[in-house]
Amino acid sequence: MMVSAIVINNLSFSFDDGQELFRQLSLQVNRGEWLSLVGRNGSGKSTLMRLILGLETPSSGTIKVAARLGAVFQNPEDQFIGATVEDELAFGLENQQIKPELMPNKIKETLQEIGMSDYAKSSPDQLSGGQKQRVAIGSALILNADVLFFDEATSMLDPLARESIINLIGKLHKQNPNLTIINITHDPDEILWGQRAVVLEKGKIIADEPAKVLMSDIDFLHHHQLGETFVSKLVSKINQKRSLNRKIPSSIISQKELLSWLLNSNK
Amino acid sequence: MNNIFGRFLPTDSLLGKLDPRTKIVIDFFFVIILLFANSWLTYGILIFFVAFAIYCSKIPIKVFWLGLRSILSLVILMMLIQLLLTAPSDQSDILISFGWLRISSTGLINSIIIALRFFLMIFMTTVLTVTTPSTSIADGISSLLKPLSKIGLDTKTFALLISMTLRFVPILSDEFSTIVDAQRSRGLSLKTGSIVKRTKTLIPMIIPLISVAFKKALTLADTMEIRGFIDAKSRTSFHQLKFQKIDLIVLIIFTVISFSIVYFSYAKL
Repeated sequence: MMVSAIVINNLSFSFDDGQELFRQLSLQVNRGEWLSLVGRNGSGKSTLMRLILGLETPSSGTIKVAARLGAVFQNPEDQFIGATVEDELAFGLENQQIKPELMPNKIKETLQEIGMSDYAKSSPDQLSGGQKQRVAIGSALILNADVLFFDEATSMLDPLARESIINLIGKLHKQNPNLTIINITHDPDEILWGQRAVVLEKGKIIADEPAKVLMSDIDFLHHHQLGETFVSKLVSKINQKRSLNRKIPSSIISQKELLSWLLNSNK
Repeated sequence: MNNIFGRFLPTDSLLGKLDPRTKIVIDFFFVIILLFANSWLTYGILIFFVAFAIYCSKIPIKVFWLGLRSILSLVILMMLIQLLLTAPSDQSDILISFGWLRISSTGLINSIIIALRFFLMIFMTTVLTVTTPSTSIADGISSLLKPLSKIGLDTKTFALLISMTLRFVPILSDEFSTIVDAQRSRGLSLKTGSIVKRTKTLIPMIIPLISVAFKKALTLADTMEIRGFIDAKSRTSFHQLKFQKIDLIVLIIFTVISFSIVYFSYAKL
């Protein structure tokens, strides 16, 4: 039986200027799920995250959270409080009034988990964007967060750093089956890393489907101005130009699927 | 790196190993002692002390120069004010006379002293901030101000405020450089036109900086809240301050230097 990590019931929310964003919104996120929250700018993704995190107060409705929450924001620079990486990880422990003698071990373990063991004494200014995001992830993990929010956490990174961060999230999710990931993203390829995708438009959920199903629905993606995956675009270009003897099925949206289809078609 | 003030540069140096309280106390009293100096001998001792501190920090002098460069125009302005507004004590004191403008040797010496005091002060505070993480500075201040908590002063919050301010100085400085570059690329120039025009040019650079500062502060507040921050009073501290033998030795050396400065200053009088 699926255990819920977050249950939102009939949530309504309006901004201070009276503009309504959510009306009677309901959503359930299961423990261990990787959910991608998708939608155009202003659709309410980040506000929904802020409401769940308790940073905003709903006008009505309930948000039940049966987990410890952590969040990683877009710009890692804005999230640093500590002067060194270990100070940064210690910040949350200090707030939880953990005894100082217990902190070094917890910090060491977290640094290993995020692959930053060699940077304990480094200043955040000396780190690359990807390394800074790793530390931001570590800051949430050290507090035993069961639900990790990523608010466009890879959008400011170069392609290599982006890949390394998404791989790290994947590794953490694999290692801990109870870890719930809620990834707010505009990147179509990143959506495929998750199992489920929820599309928001003007504060309403317009799609809640398995990620693969959503990303295969090219008409829906075009209609709502959501991007296609790189492979999906490539497949449609190849099919248009008739460069191959036969058409590649449009359901092929990931590199893995394309490679497997190409290998099989050559047999 | 435009501004190194508030930036921590980790090195395996003697100064990096000192208790932050030792460095804070030395920095505080150094500024007072600097006001006592009144001869080339006393200034010489202070220059030697600062140079030795820089050497012990293992941070290249070039880095300190970078920090100084950003406030150089302010120092030059202060020197000019001293140079132009110090009246000559007598006719023999006048070095250059041109109409109403008279530059005296007293004015020249005063302007050099002002610049020297400024440089030494900046160098000493930079030595503290580059060798000590802002969180350790906060712990040090909090520990030094502990007696004041008995009269109801929230020293932990005060220390955390200082730590975060120090942390944000270089970030906002970098942000300002980006804004300046962005505005310059659109044709705004700080180097041409009258002083009034140049001052007006600063407005489109300062307003975005204030906006960015607010945005960053709000994100940081969210981050702190998510990570369980309620108030500074109830927090534990990762850094356990240890006053070691080396701290005592450094404090004794500084005390001897301080007394020698006071002695030589009065001996001259």
